[in-house]
Amino acid sequence: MPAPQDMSKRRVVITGMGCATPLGVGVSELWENCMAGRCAVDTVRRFDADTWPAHIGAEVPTSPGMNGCRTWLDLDAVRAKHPGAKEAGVNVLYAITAGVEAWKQSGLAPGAYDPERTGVYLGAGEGIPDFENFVASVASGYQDGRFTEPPVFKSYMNRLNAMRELEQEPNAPGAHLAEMFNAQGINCDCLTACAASSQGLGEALEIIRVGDADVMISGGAHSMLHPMGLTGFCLLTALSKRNDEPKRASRPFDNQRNGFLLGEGASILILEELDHAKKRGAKILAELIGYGSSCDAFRLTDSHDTGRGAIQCMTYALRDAGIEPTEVDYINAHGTSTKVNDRIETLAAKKVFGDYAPKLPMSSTKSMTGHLIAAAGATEMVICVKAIETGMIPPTINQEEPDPDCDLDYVPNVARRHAVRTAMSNSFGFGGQNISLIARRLEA
Amino acid sequence: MDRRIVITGVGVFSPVGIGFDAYSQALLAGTSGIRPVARFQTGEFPGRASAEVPAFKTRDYVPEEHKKAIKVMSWDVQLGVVAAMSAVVDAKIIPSLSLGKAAEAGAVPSSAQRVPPTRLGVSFGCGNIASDPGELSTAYSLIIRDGHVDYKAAGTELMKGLTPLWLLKYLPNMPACHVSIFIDAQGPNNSLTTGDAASLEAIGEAYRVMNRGWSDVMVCGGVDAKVNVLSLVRCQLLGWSTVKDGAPETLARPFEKSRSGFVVGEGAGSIVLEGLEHALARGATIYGEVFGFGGGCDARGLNGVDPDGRGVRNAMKNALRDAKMAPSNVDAIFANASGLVEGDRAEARAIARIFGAGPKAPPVTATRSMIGQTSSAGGILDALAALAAIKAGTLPPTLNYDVPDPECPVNVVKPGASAAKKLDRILINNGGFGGQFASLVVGRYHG
Repeated sequence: MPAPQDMSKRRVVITGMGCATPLGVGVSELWENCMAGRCAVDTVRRFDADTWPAHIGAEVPTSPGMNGCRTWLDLDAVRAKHPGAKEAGVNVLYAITAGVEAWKQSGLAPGAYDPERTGVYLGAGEGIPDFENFVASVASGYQDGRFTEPPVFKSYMNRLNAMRELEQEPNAPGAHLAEMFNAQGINCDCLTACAASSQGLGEALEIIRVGDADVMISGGAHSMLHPMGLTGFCLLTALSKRNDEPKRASRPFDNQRNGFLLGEGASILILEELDHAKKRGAKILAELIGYGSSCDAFRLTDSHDTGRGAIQCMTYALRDAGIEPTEVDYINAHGTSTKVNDRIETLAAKKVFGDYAPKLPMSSTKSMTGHLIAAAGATEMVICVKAIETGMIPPTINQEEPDPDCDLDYVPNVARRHAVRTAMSNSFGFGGQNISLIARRLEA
Repeated sequence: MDRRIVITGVGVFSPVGIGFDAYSQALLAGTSGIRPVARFQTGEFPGRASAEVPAFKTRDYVPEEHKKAIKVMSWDVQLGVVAAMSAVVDAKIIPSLSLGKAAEAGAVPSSAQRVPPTRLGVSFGCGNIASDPGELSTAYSLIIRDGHVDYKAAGTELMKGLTPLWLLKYLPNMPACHVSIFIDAQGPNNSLTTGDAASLEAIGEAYRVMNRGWSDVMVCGGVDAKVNVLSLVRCQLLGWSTVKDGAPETLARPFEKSRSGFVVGEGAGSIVLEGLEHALARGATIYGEVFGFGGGCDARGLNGVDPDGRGVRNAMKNALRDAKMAPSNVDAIFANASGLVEGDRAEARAIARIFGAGPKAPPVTATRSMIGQTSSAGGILDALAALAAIKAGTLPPTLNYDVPDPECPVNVVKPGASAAKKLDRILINNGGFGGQFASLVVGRYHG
């Protein structure tokens, strides 16, 4: 268990945020749509997914009107503007888009920061495979009931594009962001499934706290909305098969929930040491005050029955922040809409927050955005910061039939006015990694 | 921040040997692990050499009650798990942990002191795991029509053709997840996927996690297994792996004038980090001490290496600062150099800039000449090699350093060279495509 907060620690603030999510490209539309309780889930359009058992998901809008959004991302325009990313896949393009927005908001410009003390720590996932060429090549190795490698070697050599392959590496988004903003300091990527970008933010926070950097570009980017990603999650029976009612499919904590909805996207946050931000007169969006990390060490796909991992990471984050549980005004839940997660997360929140738990609003914005996997945590931290900034809490939509095991205040269906000084964001990864982060309004 | 962190367990699965002793002996003797690709037929593919890990039985390294988990481990995950479990057994941190008889250190006595689960964490580096084409080929052959995917068939055939837990085989956080379950490690658990820098960053992060008091013992390391069709082709198409013909053991030529790319390798390694007082209290074997870690980035996107090696230079500078050391405190450098024309030159320039050139500069060695480019595992394999060198008081040589490249102004250790005068502190570099670099300073433990 971490020691109580060390007051000598350097303080870390958020000075920029950007995103490319299924609910909007740019923080302002993401937030508007969260406030309006809109849902981005629809039939998968990237490829013809009709025969997959679950074929609904939340894609980033890449054409006018998609998901009812007014913003949309012109992928070709991003590629044209960033010639170094000509062969980049959507995960990289989302990261670049989110990064540009975040950096612009931070106001960091050459001369205002030391490139060698500026780093990157993302929780970014691998890119989308070159599926057509991959399938054709692998299939070429299968003849008369036998598989041999030489035809696959030959087919890959003829068909694959070297840079398109390289762009699929999980460290590619971080490499691009480092180039765009001339960040020559430490550069990490972690990929702890659904906890990744929260873990990235937590470790970036620590890197600044101990003085190894003054500015960290952090967050995540991921898309598993591709044939093999959808196949993998369908096989695990983790996804909702409510194909006929996509907008009602993601329903965290509701009794009729039956799985999560695959989303995609990127969110990038600029973390900065407090005095560094103050000195240059930056607008400070919030302070990142707490980080807790634990592992269930139980099963590859299930949380421990007692919620011990979730309890630990929330407890550690509170201790790291040096605050009482009652000081938390809002929790953005991991809330995936699976039977197990939502029940265990509720149980854990009750354990950590005790009598205060029923009074503490805890919503899952995955009901609207779908599950952005590695990019989920960073997106939800953006939402927490907006809640602090605006005094509004986004709802959990699709609350129709209460689950007796999920009896907390999930802010059902409608956004709510509520003063939020301190917000917690939970992210629990497949495989057992649990992260909690706490952000607070900076008060002088 | 001044907590001392020592290394109390080691595990390694490398192309030149399994187990720390075998690995140490092979490296110090200058044994090459590079051979013709043996795992599968390569047909007319031009790169026909690789460095593969010799055969072993995964079940010998997995606790009895978890043996079923092996079915959901890809080859990469298995390699990572066996390396980590070997280090855990070696460190004797889990009482009564009993692995198969082939596991090098055997069973841990029940009297061993158990680290509290919440004070035990895992930090691992892992590459982007390529799926096994053999496993996919039947289903894929049913969904390809006239050279194109028939998506209507795909949804159905893929569901029928693959196992329910197929996805879990390929997630890069799985080595750390399996290990956490096997040893009930409930502390911080992370998987770094920063390409070639991943395993040094994983060690560096474990070191930071312990420094801030979040854990007493961390199992860390990394794995990568790129001896598969897709990865071999990628390295070839990117112009990274050598296509030269010749005896396999002569193909990897770091810093040498005629170098023409690396040879793809695979491997996994793990070390157990422990707070010094914790280690002393339980009478642990101490292999060495971690002194400092640093990162840096070329900041050139995917456009190749910075010619002056600014990413690796920043990483080295930051590691020295973290270790509170002057360059003159470093007795030897384990270079990232793998035989890439520009990469080796950039790193050599960066080393010369910090440590100077000429005979007084510290000796530099490149184990990639023996074990190939092991990417995300490269850093941990070099950290283990550094521990072997410190123990033996001599450095592993760089093979094939026949004609020095004047553009690589470093003192490369040749086979049969006389031992370094003093071998207490070693700096390790690792990194590569994407420009992400990491450096770690490890050294002899002095009480």
